[in-house]
Amino acid sequence: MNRKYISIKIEGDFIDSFIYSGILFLVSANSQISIYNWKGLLSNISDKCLYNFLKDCRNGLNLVGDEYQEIYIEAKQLKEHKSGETLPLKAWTTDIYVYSNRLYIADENGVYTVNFDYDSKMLVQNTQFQLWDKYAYKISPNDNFRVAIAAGSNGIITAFPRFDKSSQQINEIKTIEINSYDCEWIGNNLITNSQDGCYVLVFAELPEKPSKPNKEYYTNVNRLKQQTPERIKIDNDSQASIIYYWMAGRKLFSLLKNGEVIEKDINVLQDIKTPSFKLQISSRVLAVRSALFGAVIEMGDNLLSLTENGVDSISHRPVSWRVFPRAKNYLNHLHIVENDYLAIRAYFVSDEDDSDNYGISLNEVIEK
Amino acid sequence: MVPEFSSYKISPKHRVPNKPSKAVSVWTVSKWDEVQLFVTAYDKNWWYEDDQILWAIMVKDSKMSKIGEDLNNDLYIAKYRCDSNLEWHGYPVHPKEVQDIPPHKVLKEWYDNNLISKRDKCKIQKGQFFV
Repeated sequence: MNRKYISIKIEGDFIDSFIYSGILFLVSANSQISIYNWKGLLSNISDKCLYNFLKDCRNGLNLVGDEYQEIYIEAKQLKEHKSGETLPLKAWTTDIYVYSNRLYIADENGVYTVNFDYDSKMLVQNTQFQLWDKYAYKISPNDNFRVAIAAGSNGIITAFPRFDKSSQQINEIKTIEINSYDCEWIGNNLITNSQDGCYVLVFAELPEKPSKPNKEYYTNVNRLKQQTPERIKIDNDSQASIIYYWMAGRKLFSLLKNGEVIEKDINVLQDIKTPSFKLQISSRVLAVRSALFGAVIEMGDNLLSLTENGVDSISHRPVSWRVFPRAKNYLNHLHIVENDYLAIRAYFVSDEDDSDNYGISLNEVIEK
Repeated sequence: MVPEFSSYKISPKHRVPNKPSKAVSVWTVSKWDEVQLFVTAYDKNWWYEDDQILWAIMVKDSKMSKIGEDLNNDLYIAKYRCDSNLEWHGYPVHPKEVQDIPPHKVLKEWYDNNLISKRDKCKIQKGQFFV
């Protein structure tokens, strides 16, 4: 039986969404980013268990019988829970990400970052800083203000802003020559899908920040950040060619042209599971990502879920979609932007180990 | 400033009997359609600042219509360039590489005029436009 979920539909003309630390970030078609208090949006829910579950999926909730709930939030109600000023954009975003109290924005002009004030839950707009000034397709930040940028033929870019002696913010850029439109940084591994295959870029482990960091610590961190990562091309034990790779916790999945899904352990890069069934590859695979409930596959016009129970249709021609593999609170979320609303699916979770073979359990989350 | 114009040339390398190659795409619509799309792009200002590049699409029955082919894809977007003699020529492109993705300003014009959907605009900008 397929895992059940609660659907929260939010009325509006959006192109992308992100949820982070109790705040819902919405990118609207009129080129603006506004942020909303998530708890406020749920405030009409009278069922305490449901409310707590939607705030943090670690609180768990199991569906009783065939009960099915849908919550609808109108534009007017959304507006009531807006936090701070709207951030105007120069163009539609190609990607956004919120990590370590920073909002990262990618578009045709490059990549920008804006600080998010955790206490006031607002964007600090005068902190806006440009990290990259050419086209950016996809972004994936990591700890110590590092961000990876899939910049197509310009390569995979790693940017790491820092402050110089006069407290002036400067930006360090490192280019890795892989023509890629898609990257994801999980732990020390950066996975890139490119035209000539999949690469795992293994970065140096950065030391934990001590309570009183000294100059030596910062010198060491900056040196490690600038080290060239080890580049590993992922091979395939099977005869069929690989059309997409993605990570789920420590698992590296490969989707083969013949529809098989192979699982490898990221540490040893060896196949650990043989495929149990074949997907029907009917058109081009655009993206795959995993969350608690399984994997989400965008194949041509169709958005599909891949779970131990098989393949299910989720949406046809959605504007965009997103899961949150690093967020323990929202590991069960799937955001789907449709033409005139955002649909958030919050899949039910029973305990810490509850997950799908193609997904990530709460215990497997790698937050950095 | 609107780019200047003296003439339009149909480039034979983008026309049958040539087949699409790694470097060259070919039109699958008539020469008249190629010119008409150029005129529409010029007339409607489907270009960005000083790029001296015009962009066009053909819409039939509220859908983007195929105008060409490259080695791997059906193509839906036309790109027109101007040489130093103000002579223009064009060819169909696949919006994957940066130089073949129309700028936001042009895509917004198409979206605001219901020529492309919200999804199509997003997919073109993300280099994920496949029909």
